[in-house]
Amino acid sequence: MKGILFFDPPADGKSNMDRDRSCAEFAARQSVAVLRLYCWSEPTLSLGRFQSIEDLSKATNPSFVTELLDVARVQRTTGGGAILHDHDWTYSLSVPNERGKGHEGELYRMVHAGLVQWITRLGWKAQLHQDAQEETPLRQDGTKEGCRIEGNGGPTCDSRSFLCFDRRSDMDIVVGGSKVLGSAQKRFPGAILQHGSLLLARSRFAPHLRGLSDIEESAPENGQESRGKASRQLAEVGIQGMGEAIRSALERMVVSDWELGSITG
Amino acid sequence: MRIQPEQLKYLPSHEWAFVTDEMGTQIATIGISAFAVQQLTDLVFMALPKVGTMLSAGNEFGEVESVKAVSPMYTPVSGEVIEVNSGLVDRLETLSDDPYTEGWIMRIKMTDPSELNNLLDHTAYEKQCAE
Repeated sequence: MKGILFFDPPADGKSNMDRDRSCAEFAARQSVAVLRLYCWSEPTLSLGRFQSIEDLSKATNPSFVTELLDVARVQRTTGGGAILHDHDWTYSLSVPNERGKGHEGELYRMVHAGLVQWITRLGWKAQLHQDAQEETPLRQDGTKEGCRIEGNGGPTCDSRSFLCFDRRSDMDIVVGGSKVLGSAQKRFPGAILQHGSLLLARSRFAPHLRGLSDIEESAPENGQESRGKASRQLAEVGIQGMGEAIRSALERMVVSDWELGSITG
Repeated sequence: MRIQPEQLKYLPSHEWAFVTDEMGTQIATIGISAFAVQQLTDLVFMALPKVGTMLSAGNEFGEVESVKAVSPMYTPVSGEVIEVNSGLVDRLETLSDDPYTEGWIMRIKMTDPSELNNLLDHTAYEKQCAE
């Protein structure tokens, strides 16, 4: 299968979602994989397919509710929780699919495994959540980050939290106990759209969520000079580095022939 | 009445139809297969059509959300939605426990029974799932 990789300039929420849908339609029509990387021109809350802003009032962590109400909003076609796009990079991957329901898990595994390797090479200890659960530190209230107390039992991962980055699923990427990347999918006729966001830094609209640059690097070297090395490398490779990591992960298994370009129609 | 998977007709996208004759009217009960439910894993939400909606075969009639994926559901036959299993939304585990009887999704008053000829029988559907 052939693939097209391109980087879009920052855009507003509706433009970004429309563009993702166009990519999925193009992938279905042309039988090519389309990998798009982009940013957001303003802080934007993208709601999961079946979420509404009213769900925010039921959020288990009310401290950020007021701030989030003022942020621009857009509805995603994909499922999962709301994502605050402030300091993040987003990818969308559209892959032709003629096999009906199922088989989506492989896409998650490929993309996330590639990104775990990439983040690790930059200098953080990145893991899939399923591999990191035992290492997640407890908060003072006995819960783990992304988890809450449920009933009389122990800490339970909260899959119903309003924000995607307060949730955990096995394929999420975590660093130092914090989720830094999650993805979600939507099946269109003839194509699967998967998109996800890499949290780069804490946002003032949801300050409890740490981004990569807020998290201590995996093997801090002695001396002030080496501190922040991973963050500097991340800034140097930029969103292009993230795109290359995903492209590389897919190249080994699905897409053999990539070209840099764009789509039309 | 228990519905057995061998009695059903299928779309390649994993929706099934079970047709009964009710006083001369062909009624199709629609659901999604055990294979699809297994592949989707951890269902969290389902959007169903309204009673009275007219559907054409192959049209999307609703969506099902698993932990991370939203997938459309397509109707195998044309007709009017006369009943939906609205309680399913609050107990999606029924789709895993009993996808062919308690896990039915909607019932359609068929307008063109010949459309059944376009669907896969159980043997052909099983073969597709094994590929």
